[in-house]
Amino acid sequence: MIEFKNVSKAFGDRQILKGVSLTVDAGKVLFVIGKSGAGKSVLTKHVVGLVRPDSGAVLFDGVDVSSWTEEQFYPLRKRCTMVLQHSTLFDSMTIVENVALPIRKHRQLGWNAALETATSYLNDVGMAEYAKRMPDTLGDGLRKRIAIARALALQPQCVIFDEPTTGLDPQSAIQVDGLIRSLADRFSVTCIVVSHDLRSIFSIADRVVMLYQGQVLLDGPADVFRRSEHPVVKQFMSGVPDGPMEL
Amino acid sequence: MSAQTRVFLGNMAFVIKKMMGRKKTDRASRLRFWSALNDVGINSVFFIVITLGFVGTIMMLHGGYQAARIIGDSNLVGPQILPLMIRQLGPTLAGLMVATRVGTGMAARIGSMVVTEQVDALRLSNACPVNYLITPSWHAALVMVPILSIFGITAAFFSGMLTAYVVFETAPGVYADWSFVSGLDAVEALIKSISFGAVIPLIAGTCGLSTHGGSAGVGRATTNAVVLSSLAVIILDFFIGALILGLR
Ligand SMILES: Nc1ncnc2c1ncn2[C@@H]1O[C@H](COP(=O)(O)OP(=O)(O)OP(=O)(O)O)[C@@H](O)[C@H]1O
Ligand SMILES: [Mg+2]
Repeated sequence: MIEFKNVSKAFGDRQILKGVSLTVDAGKVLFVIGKSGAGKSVLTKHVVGLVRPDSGAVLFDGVDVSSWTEEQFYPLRKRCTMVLQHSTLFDSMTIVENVALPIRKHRQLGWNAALETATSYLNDVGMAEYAKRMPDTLGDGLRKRIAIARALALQPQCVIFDEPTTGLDPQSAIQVDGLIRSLADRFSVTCIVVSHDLRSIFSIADRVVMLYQGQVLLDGPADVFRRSEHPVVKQFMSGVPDGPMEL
Repeated sequence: MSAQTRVFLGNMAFVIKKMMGRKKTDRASRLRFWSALNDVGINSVFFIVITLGFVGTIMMLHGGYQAARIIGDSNLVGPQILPLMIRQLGPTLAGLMVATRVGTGMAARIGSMVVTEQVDALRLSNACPVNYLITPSWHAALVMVPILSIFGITAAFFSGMLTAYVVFETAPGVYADWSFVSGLDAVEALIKSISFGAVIPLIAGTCGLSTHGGSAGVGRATTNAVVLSSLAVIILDFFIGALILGLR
């Protein structure tokens, strides 16, 4: 469904991605892992056109989107959406307005119709009590869950979760994991999850890809990682500071 | 050309393209425009009136003192500084004040939205960040910088008049001698202030969108915004002024 072909990206003279090739299967949960600054967010943002590659290609359903204009991405961003790493609710809008904005823009509804849809949707997901609150009056974990709800309101075929469980309490993290798993199992939604959370990786990943120094270091089911003898992978798994991994 | 300059110029081209594009106005966009008018205009007017009030006094004080010393008569100073006030100091100082107040505010706000990925979130929602964050201030500044200039010129005029009367005993009627002011001065003031209104939000907004690298990046974007937009005001001031002097 989504394919990266030899994607490279640099910011200034810092080469972040050095020829990443990767195929994402439809309806599966793919984890992208790697140390901080490895370029996980940069890589996944290529899919929805928030970052464009310097060279290489990103294919979505077989179509090369790497040179698309911003407008060409509009319909794609309805089918494939992203929950960004920061709890990126718009601080000048209430929760219900936050949820209504993408609904209005993507479905080209009027403001009131969009607000109505958003309100009933928040009811469905059990978050109606927060509808009128401003984002800065809520905790980080709650904001993250609302950002996830906002993305799912569009009923996408593919969702990219950038560190969805970071900053959540263990119970909420398990809930989010369950949600991701059921999206894939029940609705065949393709899920790409960026995470450091080993617990999530081993409980819900169909496949794990590790980025290291701008390239794919290892690619396979979670088990492959557990058994890997690669010194960098072993260091990442054990979380010890000393080892061959370059910081 | 450095990578940052390339990013900046690329972003500026994108912003200009988006601002030129047709867009429909709805209630939300009108609200954004009103709030920008408030921000650029109402919140700056006090600042500009005070600043230009002092400038009027200072010009009259020093001009009058020099004139009295050299030709023994300070009555001529008022009529001489009036055209300068209208076509030069009024619009330029109003432009610089807006660059400082509005430019920094825009760059900081947009920059922090970039580093917290709110701009990415807007793009994912199909909401164009330029239409949301820059165009309203751009329209507001086009309208407001000329109006602020008029307020500023008026403040300088009256404070100069008061100074002339109190310090040099120049009668208000003698001070307010409009014979050296031509229609071209007003045209120049208008062209300048509209141009300043056009470039300040463009530069500040682009600086904001080009932010990267956390809160240090927001700081850099804010500094760049005020430096570059003030520079643009001064350079435009020179070129427009020189062009119109050529027409005289
Ligand atoms: N727009 C940009 N301009 C310049 N540098 C950038 C930009 N976006 C990302 N970077 C840099 O690219 C590198 C990779 O960033 P990225 O956000 O992808 O890391 P990450 O793997 O997601 O790490 P983390 O776990 O910290 O989120 C970082 O060093 C970051 O500073
Ligand atoms: Mg990241």
